This record gives sequence, structure tokens and C-alpha cells, in this order.
Amino acid sequence: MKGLSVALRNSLRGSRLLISLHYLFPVALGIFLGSKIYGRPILIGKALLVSLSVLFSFFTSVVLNDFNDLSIDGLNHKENLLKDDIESYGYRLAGFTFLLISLILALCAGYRMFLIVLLGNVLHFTYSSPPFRLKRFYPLSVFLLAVGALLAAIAGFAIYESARPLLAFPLKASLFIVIPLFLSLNFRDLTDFEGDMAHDVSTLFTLLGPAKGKWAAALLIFLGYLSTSLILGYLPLLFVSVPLGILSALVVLREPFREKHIFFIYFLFVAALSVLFNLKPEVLIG
Amino acid sequence: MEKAENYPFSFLSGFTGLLSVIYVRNFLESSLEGDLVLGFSPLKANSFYSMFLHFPLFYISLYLWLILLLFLLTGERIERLARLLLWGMGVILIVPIIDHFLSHGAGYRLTYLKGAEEIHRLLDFFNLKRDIVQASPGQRVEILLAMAGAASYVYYKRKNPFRSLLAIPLTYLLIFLHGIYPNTVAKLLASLPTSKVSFGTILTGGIAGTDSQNYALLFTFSSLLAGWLLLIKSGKIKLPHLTSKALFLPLLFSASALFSLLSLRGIYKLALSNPINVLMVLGGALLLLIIYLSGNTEGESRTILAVPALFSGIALGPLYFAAAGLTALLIRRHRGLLIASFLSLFAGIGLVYGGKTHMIASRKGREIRAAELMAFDLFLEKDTRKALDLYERLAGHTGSEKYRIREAQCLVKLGHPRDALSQLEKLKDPGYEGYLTLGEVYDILGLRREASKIYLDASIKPYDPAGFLILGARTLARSGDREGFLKLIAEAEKHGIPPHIRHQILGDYYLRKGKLDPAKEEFRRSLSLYKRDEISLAGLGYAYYSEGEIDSALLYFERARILSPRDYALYNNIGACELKRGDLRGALHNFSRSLKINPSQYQGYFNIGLVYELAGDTLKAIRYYRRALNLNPLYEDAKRGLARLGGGD
Repeated sequence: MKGLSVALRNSLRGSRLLISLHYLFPVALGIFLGSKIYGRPILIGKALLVSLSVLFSFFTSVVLNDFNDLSIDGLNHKENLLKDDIESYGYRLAGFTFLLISLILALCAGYRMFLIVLLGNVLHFTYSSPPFRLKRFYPLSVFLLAVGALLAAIAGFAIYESARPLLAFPLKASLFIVIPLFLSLNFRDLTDFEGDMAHDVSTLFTLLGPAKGKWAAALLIFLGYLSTSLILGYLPLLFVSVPLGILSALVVLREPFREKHIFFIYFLFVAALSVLFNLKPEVLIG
Repeated sequence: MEKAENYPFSFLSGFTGLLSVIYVRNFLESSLEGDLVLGFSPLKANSFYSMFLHFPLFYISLYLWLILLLFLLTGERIERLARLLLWGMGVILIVPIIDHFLSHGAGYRLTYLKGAEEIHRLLDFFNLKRDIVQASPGQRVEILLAMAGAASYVYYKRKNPFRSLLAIPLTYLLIFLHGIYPNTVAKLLASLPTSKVSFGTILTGGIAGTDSQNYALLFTFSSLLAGWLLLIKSGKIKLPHLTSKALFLPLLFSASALFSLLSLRGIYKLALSNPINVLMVLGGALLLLIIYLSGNTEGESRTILAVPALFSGIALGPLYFAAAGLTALLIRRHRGLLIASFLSLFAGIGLVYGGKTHMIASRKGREIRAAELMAFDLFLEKDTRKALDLYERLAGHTGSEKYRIREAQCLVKLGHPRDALSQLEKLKDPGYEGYLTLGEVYDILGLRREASKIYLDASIKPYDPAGFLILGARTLARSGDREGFLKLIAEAEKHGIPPHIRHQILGDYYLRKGKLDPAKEEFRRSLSLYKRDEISLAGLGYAYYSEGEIDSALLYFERARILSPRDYALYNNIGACELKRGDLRGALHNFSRSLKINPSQYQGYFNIGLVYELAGDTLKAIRYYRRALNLNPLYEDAKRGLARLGGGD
């Protein structure tokens, strides 16, 4: 039980709570798209099952990541305190429990939902764990994170179209999720710079150095916000995306770096997008 | 390369990594190929076995044999090769992506080669200008990369150009052999004197009753062989000696499984003469032996033996897997062997009875299981009448809708669509196969509106909405309802169907309307998007046939036949062209092939009768017309033929 509570606490502490919320937005977007395209009401029960399943899948990834990062994060004082907990059998068991819950919830929503959520877990595994541990390779690592978000959206969408969810999911929406996130998510490696350097994990910051890396990450996050308006082909959105992009870039450049602030700006943007998509769904569906 | 070879991880991590790559490939392939659904099949059992066993075991086998090949060519340590090749397996991910883009979303329907008889096609693969059915463009890139990778690696390790060059054909040969493996093995088994079934029944029927499960079993054997050779060569595992104790559990299991098979023999007469059943028992015994050995080894060796054995054990069914898993856990505990013995007995029964193990306890239960297995094997053997008898009895005894659907499918094959309809209309929940059969029956009876309504109903269910919408649109196009089919196509497009389908159905619509030029135009548009669209090729053939351009028609029908060699209608069309050209021998040959593929088609018998009539062999003509009428007593063409020849009575 201790392992479980530690794992839960670990999954929700600090910015991880915000990241877990970040995974729920694409799910909601997918559900919204499915409902609009097929003209069917929101299926609350299934929506809840899928959202919880994605959430537990994220918790699994946190445990997996912690476990595999132990040696790397050991260099970062924030993780040192939890070293014994993470190494414990209970913590690993908690990871399996989260995985099981995630898959069972998905299976309750449908067999194909199970396949999609399993793919998400497989991607987490290849990202964090040997033999591949793809997080070592930049920019593939960031791309995989963006694909993870797309998969969460497809899981939501699959409530309405589970037979061909990849082909039926609108291309515009796919680009809208993947490109901005691919550009923006570099900031997440900023705090792990020392550990990444020591363990040969390639990130924007280990490649360019912390100072130049910061500037590049700031530029990319701004471009990420900017790209949303361009991908949607809806220029009035620039009035929101440009200031929020600049704000995010400034947060990246500011010392000390506060990851939470990036997420708060992101949530503001999501709120603006929610209003836009509800008023003009054709902007997203194309 | 050195980094990848030396990167440390456990066997379990490596095995999970390999399964992960394979899973991503399967996910992408089933998602991106236009006529597939996520998970390959709308039927959950088939999908499960395809996604989690059949294809994984295919790739695991290939992976192990490639390690063995590279080991022989380089002499490098097997552990290092295994680590490196995990990365090499990443190449399998590119196939569905390349194929998706080159086929405009239609996909290339990747299948196994027909068998060893295709060995003469070995070199076709390298003629890159030629589009061959046996390989998709993505597969070609994948295999070429694999060959190049193997050659480069061998050169890097040995600096020996000869060995490096040798790696190219050997890698290709290994992949080719995996392509022909299942069909070749099934054909060899079918040729055994003890076998009373065809190779198709070996691959699809038997106690598993799911083709993916049978394929998985075959690849279990090839994986085990490669794995065993690797273990011997690596010298990593010191195996305990094969004592009589080690053989005890497999023997107990085999006895139990064979006894269970024999208990069905009264009705399931193919119990021992369908070789896949015997192979299942052998597979189960072998895996149980490995599980026992794993219990008597230490450390990682234990995992190396137990994990793959248990994974392969899923191919034999959930009950076998559960019993084998418990055996693995209990084997070294106090009184473990005693409990494992009971579990082995249970696993043997579970192998034969599947999820209905309790049925062995009652006579009625045994009869139902035996009838179910016999009926399916007969159905696959195209002995439709006997299969129908058994399915009728099963439906009567159990009231199960699944038997009623099979009964209806038999009736359709025997040319009794009205009787099939009366069975199908009783269904409360037709399910995927029921909807398909019902739509087909309505279509045969010319009730196209009803057929399209059924397809529309089915499209609301999650089985395959786009697939059913396409079927509905095709039916409406044939009935001339332009507005209706365009609406359904538009709906299907929301589900991500490939773009050539719209042109294909439009072509069909114009063809039925007798507007041959626009029909040809639409078929050509479809082919410009997807050149392997056999429906449009056949449509073009039909259009040319209608215009009297028999040579052009024949050309298109032949092209369609190459893509779809099991489509009996195409052989009839080719035969009709030959008949028009006055080539009676050619016509007879094609009509006979059509009948061989589908012996239940009354038109096939009529066609052959017509050839004999034209050849002046009245007796044979009458015989074939009568056989057509036996299948369908209402068939007017055959009645007229008999009247012409005076064989009406």
C-alpha cells in the first residue's frame, strides 16, 4: 500500500498534476471531434472510462520513468529524497497496478480502446525503458511526447469510430496537436539538464548548452503557439496565440525557471480554444 | 553499433521491447491498410490472436533466425547480436507507412506466399519495375534494408567481402522462407496418408477453430527451434538433463489431450485425421516440458525459458495458458509436482474443449463439442451438405445464434437463399457475420433495398462502420439509386475510407446503367489512385466485354485474377471470354477452376454444361445442367438448357 500511495503522490506532485491534466485535454478534444463529425451526443460513461484510462496510463508512465531515471535523477536533488521509495518493490507493484487499471478501464470502454491505450503504454515503455529508451534521442523524444498526446485524442475520438480511428481522425486536428506540442515541449528538459548531460541523454539543452538552449526553447515555444493559428488557418486566433506565446517564451527565459507558469499559460490557451471550437467547430474539422 | 551491442538490459526488458516494436507494427498495419479494421478483424477472438500471437510469433521467429544467421556469418556473441537486432527490427515499422502513402490509403493486403511452389518467384522480388502481388512496395524497402543492414554488419565485423555478400541472399532467403512457411507446412501435412483434410482446413479449422491460432502454433515451432539452437550455441544456459521426471508432465498432458480428442471421435471423425489437432497436442507437450525445465534452472535462465514458453502457450488457448502458468509457479513448491500433474490433465482437456471444458462431463456436452468441430471442418472442406446437417442439429439443440448463422451460410452455398433468409430473420442479434450474411442473402435475392438497409443498420455498430457503408453504397449503386449511394459514400468518407472507393462504386453504377464510357472513366480514375483495385479492373473487363472487345476484356479480367486468385467469379468471366473467342478448352478450364474454388455455385455447373452443349457432348451437358438445377431448382437458364437438349425429365 505504501508503494501505491507513494506512486500516486509522485504522479501528482509538482507539475506532474498539471501534465496529467494536459493529457486529458486531447481526450476531450477527440470526444468533441467524434461527437461533431458523427452528429452523436457525448457518451458520458465511455468518456469517463477513457479519460480515467488515459490518466492511469500517465501514472504508469510516471512510475516507469521514475524507475528508469533513478540513476539520472539521482543527480537532481529533487528526486534524491524519494530514491528508496522508488527502488522499492511496492513502487514497481504500483506501476503494474496502474497499468492494469488503465487497461481494464479501456477494456470496459471497448476492445479497440484497449488496443489504443495499450499502444500508449507501449510508447511510454519504449520512451523510458531499455532496450530502446528513446528519450535519449533528441528530437525523437519530444516527437514521441507529442504523439502521446495525439494518441490520447484518438482514444477519445475512438468512442465514436473505433474501427479506423487513425484514418478517420481529421488530419488538420492531428497536425494541430502534434506540431505545436513538438515545438513547445522542449522546456520540460530544462530542469533535468545536469542528469541528462551525465547520462548521455540528448536534449535541446545538452546539444546547445543551457544558455543557448534556453533561447532556442523560448523561440520554439513561441513558434508552437504561433503554429496553432496557421495550422487551423484561422488568423484571428493570433490575437490570443501571439501574446501567450511571448509570455511563455519569457517564462522559459526567466530565472529561476518556473515550469508551472508555462502550464498556467497553456491552460489559458486551452480555455480560449474551447470557446473557439464550440463557437466554430469547422475551424478544427476543416 | 558498439553502444547498441553493449547497452545493458535484462532479458525481460529485451523481450518486452521486441514485443513493443511488433505491437506498434501490427497497430499501424491494421490501422492504415484501407480495407482492414484496427486489430485486423471485427471478430474479437480473431483480432486477439492476430495482434498478440500470430504476427508476434512470426516476427519473433524471424528475429531469432536472423540472429542465428548473423551468428554463423560473423561469429559474434549471440547476446550482442540480439541486442543490436532489436534496433534492426525497427525497420518493420516503415512498411505500413510507405504502403499507406503509395496506395493512397488502400493498402496492399499483405499475405503469405502460397507455398513452396512459389519458389520460382524468388527473383521476381528484385525486378523493382514490376509490381508483384507477393510483395508491397513497403515490404520491398523493408527487405532491401534488412539485406543491406545484414551485409554491412557482416562486413563491419569480419571485413570479408565474400561473407558480406553472402549475407544478402541468405537474409532474403530467410524472409522468403518465413513467407512460404505456413502454407508449405500445411500442404505437407495435408499430403500425409493419415490426413483427411485439405491444407486450408489445417490452417483454419481443428480444435482451435481460428486461423490465427493455428498460424501462431506453426510459428511457435519455428521460434522454438531457432531459440533452442541459439541457446545451445550461446552456452548461456546449462539445462538440466532430460530425466523421466521431466517427461512426466508432458506425457500426462498428451494422454489427457488425446483422450479428450478420442472422446469426440464418435461424431468428430476428423479428430485425429486433421493434423493440426495432433500438432496442437505436440506443441502443448513441448511447451510444458520447457516450463518444467525452467522450474529446475536458476536466475535469468529461468526467465529465458519460462517467459517465451508461456507466451507461446497463449496460442494453445486460455485454459492451457492458465494451467501452464500455474504449473510454472508451483513446480518447485512442496507437493508442486502433484498439483502440476492435475493441472497438466486439466490443460489437456482444456486444449480440446476450449472454454467449454465442463462439457466433457456430460454425453450431450461431448456431442455438442464434437458436432461443432466436425461441422466447421466440413464447412471448410466444402462438404456443405453434411456441415449443414450438423449445424441444423446444433442450432436445434443449443438455440445458439452462431450456429444458425453458419446454417444460413451453408444454405447460401447450396443455392437456397430463401431458406437462409428464413433462418437469418429469426436472429435477435445478428452480429458481424450475421449482418454480412443477411446482406448477401438479400442481395442474391435481388432485394437490394433490404440489403442496403441491413448494411446501414450494421454500420451503426462498432464492427466496421465504413465497411458496411461501402457495402450499402455498392448495393444501392447496383440498384440504380444514385442519390442513396452517394449519401452512403459521403458517410463512409467520414470514417476514413480510401479515395478510390468513390470512383469504383460510381463506375459500378454507370456499368449497371449501361453507360459504358463514364463507367470506364470512373474505373480508370480509381485505378490511377490504386492500381491494385481488382474490382475496377474487373469492371473495366466487364465494360469491354459488353462492347464486344473481348481481347481487352480478357486482359483486364486476367489482371484482376492475378490480384484476386480466389475470386471464382473472375474465372467465370475469363471463361465467358474464352467461349466468345471459340476456345472451348480454355473456357472449360476456367469454368472448372471457378467451380473448384466454389463448388456450391449453380452458375458454375451451368457454364460447364454450356461448354459441353457447344462441343456437342449432349450427355455431359445434360448432367451439368441437372447438377445446376439440383442446387437451384428455380434456375431458368439450366431449365431452358435441359429443354433444348430434351433432358427435362
